[in-house]
Amino acid sequence: MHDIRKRKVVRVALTPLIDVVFILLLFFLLTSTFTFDRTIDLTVAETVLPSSTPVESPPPLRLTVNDDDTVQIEGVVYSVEDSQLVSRIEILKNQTGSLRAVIVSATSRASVQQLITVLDTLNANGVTDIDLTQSGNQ
Amino acid sequence: MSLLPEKHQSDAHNEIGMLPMINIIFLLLVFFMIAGQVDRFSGLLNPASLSEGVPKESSLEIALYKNGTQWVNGVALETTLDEHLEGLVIPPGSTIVTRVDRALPANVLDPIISRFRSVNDVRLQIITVATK
Repeated sequence: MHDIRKRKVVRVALTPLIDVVFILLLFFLLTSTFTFDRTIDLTVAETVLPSSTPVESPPPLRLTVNDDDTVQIEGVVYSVEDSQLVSRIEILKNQTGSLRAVIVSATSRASVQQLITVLDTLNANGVTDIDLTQSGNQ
Repeated sequence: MSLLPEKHQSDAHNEIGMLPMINIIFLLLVFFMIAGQVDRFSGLLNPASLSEGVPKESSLEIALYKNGTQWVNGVALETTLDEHLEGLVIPPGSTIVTRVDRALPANVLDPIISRFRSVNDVRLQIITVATK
């Protein structure tokens, strides 16, 4: 007498697993970004310099960012793309013999992008110690 | 002219191998899981910049969206930013990370500047995206 045992073949259903993997893939495809954050570092400045500022320290160099891609430096308006802008800043910074602080503000109509473009220009040309002050406060 | 008998030929044509496709799907999944970052600030377009600065750890992260919504440390504000910042105490030497939409006027940063200008040595980091 033969004891015939029927071996049951157990099949693991892979379809639900593949479905879940597809859903995960779609999620990561749609939500992933590959752009890494960069930053511009600033200090926040007093609008009015404190009265205790030593007399011998030179007055800060003030830049105002306008909404038409121009920058006003001590009454003179320059285009942001003007090649003379950076050299002018360099001259003005060192005018008094010691390094002047650079204080940047923006007019109320200037956008964040316009402000960043100017800060970027300054940063790219070695002006890294920049104070940011409130819009329209000069 | 095929070398396979007719019966095998028809079988070969009817079966599509799923395993290579599943392998590729798994590889893609692993790639996106490891290499990608989930965008927590969708809808906020950071200003473009050439800067190479890297964000620092910060106890205060402010996000200002184009539609006017304002978030502080991942929580949407129901009051104005001025009112919210009024009650915040920041130790000297802190770094404030600010994400601000590029289309907003620059004066949206005013409440942050006016609140923290009296605190010694506070750094303001504006998050940007690399210019292409």
